[in-house]
Amino acid sequence: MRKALFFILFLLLCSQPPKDRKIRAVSLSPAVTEIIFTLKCEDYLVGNTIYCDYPEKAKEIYKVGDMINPSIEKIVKLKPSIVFLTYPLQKNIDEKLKALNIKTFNSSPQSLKEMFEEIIKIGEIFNKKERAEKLVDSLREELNKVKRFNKRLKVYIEINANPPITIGKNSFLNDLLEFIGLENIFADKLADYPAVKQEEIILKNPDYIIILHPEGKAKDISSRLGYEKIKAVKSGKIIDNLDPNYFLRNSPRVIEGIKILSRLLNDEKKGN
Amino acid sequence: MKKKEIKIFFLFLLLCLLIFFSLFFGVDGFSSDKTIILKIRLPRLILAFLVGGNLAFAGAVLQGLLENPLCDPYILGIASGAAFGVGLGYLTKKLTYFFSPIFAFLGSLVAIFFVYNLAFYKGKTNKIALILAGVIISFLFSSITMLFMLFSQRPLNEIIYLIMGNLSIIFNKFSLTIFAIMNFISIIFLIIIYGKAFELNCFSLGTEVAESLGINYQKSTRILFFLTSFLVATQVAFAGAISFVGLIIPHLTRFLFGANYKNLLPFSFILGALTIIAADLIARTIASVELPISMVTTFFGAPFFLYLLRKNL
Amino acid sequence: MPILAYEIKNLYFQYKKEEPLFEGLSIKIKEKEWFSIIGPNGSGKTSLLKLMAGLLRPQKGTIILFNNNLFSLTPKERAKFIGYFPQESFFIFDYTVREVVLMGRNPYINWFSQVSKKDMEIVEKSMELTETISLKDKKISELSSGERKRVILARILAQEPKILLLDEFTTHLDISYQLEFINLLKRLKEAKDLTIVFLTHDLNLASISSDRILLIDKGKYVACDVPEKILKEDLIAKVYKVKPIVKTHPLTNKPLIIF
Repeated sequence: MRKALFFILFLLLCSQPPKDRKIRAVSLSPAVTEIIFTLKCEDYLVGNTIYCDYPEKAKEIYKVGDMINPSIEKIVKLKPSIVFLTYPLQKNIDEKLKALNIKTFNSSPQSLKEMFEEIIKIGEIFNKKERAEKLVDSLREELNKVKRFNKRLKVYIEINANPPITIGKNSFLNDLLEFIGLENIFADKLADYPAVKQEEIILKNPDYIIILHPEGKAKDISSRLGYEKIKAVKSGKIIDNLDPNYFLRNSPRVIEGIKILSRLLNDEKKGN
Repeated sequence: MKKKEIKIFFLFLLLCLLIFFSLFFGVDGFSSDKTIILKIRLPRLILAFLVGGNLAFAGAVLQGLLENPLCDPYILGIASGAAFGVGLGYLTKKLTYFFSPIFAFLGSLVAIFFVYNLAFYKGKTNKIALILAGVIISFLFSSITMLFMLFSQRPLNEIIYLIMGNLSIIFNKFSLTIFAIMNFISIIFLIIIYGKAFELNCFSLGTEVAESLGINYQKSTRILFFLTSFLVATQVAFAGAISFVGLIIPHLTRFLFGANYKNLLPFSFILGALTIIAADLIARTIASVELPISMVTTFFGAPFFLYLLRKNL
Repeated sequence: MPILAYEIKNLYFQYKKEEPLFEGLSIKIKEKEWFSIIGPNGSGKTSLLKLMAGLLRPQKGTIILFNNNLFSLTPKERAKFIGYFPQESFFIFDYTVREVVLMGRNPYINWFSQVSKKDMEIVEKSMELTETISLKDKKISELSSGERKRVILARILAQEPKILLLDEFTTHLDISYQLEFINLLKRLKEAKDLTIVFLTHDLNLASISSDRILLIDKGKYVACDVPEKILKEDLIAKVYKVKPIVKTHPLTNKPLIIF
């Protein structure tokens, strides 16, 4: 009787997909969470952060905390086979997890090219390399359809108002701008998200201002003292209705973002 | 008398020099772009002048009022209380510029109420208890501020600027109007407090002596705390909490112009203004990013505080 | 009938959360009298003086000051009657002597009002009377403790009070300074028609200076009379728990107490 029971148990264990069942992923990066969902690997995702809000279903996954201070205890309890995280924000978390012998994967692409490479690597981790390659191919195709600008227009991206914070040379968004042929006025800053001075913004005189934070509206920007001198303000080229998540997350959604941006700027051009 | 005039002349010279640098020196070295000078640097200069002046003035008043040379709006937690109020004001989103100063004032009143009652024992304030109570309240308010700034998902930079001070506020017509109104009221309050300069001298002799000299202690301290809190809160609402100006400047002024509040108050204001203009010049030019201004003031202020602490213990 | 400087009737007082200190104390002090208060430590001398100065409020009883109820006077009116010399004085900021003496004019100065010529004259006069005029531009920190006490006295004189309340101000002073001070006070008393309430633990000082002495013990009235009737061996032994020898001073004919 006992033997029979063990046998049934053994059979049951064997009938599970042996390789896949081992993967238990925790994502500390909303971007990676999106990639995992796009690759349809969400069944392996056992934990993520409170900022992982796309797609809708990502919200239902067990939360281990926020991005800066996730609970190491909660992560360990999930017994993950791999934890996805992003540098430099989570460097110290990476070190802590490594010390606990937990495997981690650092996904911090700084360009579209790097993002495509990472999608494939993530696909490999889930044994879905083919699917990932297909996804990347289709994304590339869509990118090629995007209209690029020939004239280098200067853009100021604002991701926080007070103090003004923008994007630097090494940020992902900077590469997107490069791709569609726009010039980030703060491409000379090495930090990813540098705080800048107001006089710099005025001196650099951008053609476009793009607001990527919820509070800024175009009229708030143009009412700022001294900003009336900026070309973008003079000609009303302030864009304030974009969802920041399309631009600040290095996930497949940025392709959508690029399309939106390109369409928007083209429309404005015609309007002038 | 002559000596005093020479000192005043030098102060004036220094002020002119600093004003010149603040207006014409910036990210691109010396520049003369009219818009930047008039609309970015001039408002900032005025803000620096008022912030420094008011904080030093408030520090001088508090030191006399509490008979304690270690007092300052920052150390007593009034500034943190105000910063807490500003943080609360952020929750009002669009009307931040309108509500922040009001909440800042309420926050500072709550802080001074707590500190004063914690340190007041058997009709006497204990010097060290007062400072400790201030530090504790300061910590408490800073953490709560941080907590709900994080909850309302403000970036870390903004929190640091609020708790450690920064003059890079973005002005528009609306915030400039509020700024002007608040400072107009502040100036009236400054004058009212200055009218009490004679009483403030008496306060520094101790509660009992002050009362025996005909001062209604409770009434006067309440009025002065109220007015001083307003001065501090107004500045914190626009520039964040700035450390040590309120502590050092009154002492420096006493050294230069004597302890009499009749001279101490106006000269503290001028010297405080000078200091913050200079500190801001450093904070915005020394690095490619702007430093919180308390970083600069603490660097010079902390050693001085330790010196005072040794002298007074 | 002589005018009364103080008439204390049926005074009840206790500190918060402590045993009652005074339970029905009554005292009368005549105008231009030198009235000393003595008693062992914890007898409530200082509390009594603070009550008389209006710095503490009794739970019951009245204090009449030159026919005025002390507690219905405004602080400034009160300060024009009473000069209070505390046991300990401190100066956290380094004022000049003239500035400190000028603070005595506070009861006469209102919000925004300027210091008048008259104020400055009174300040000068107070400094002359206390022999501090030569120190007027010095900083407080540069003075000896004896000089400081004279400056505080000058500040009190600038208040132009009718009554001086002095709390053990001779502590920390040399004998020669103590006597000098007593003589200075005596001169001032005559010149300004002052009433002096003098609180001391030094029985011999009380003996040579006082018109009358009040002896209290743990807040209770023991006796109040001329020095000869208070400074007696049995009375002192009973209150201070030490047996003294009392002689008559060969020069002043006042009681001389030797422990």
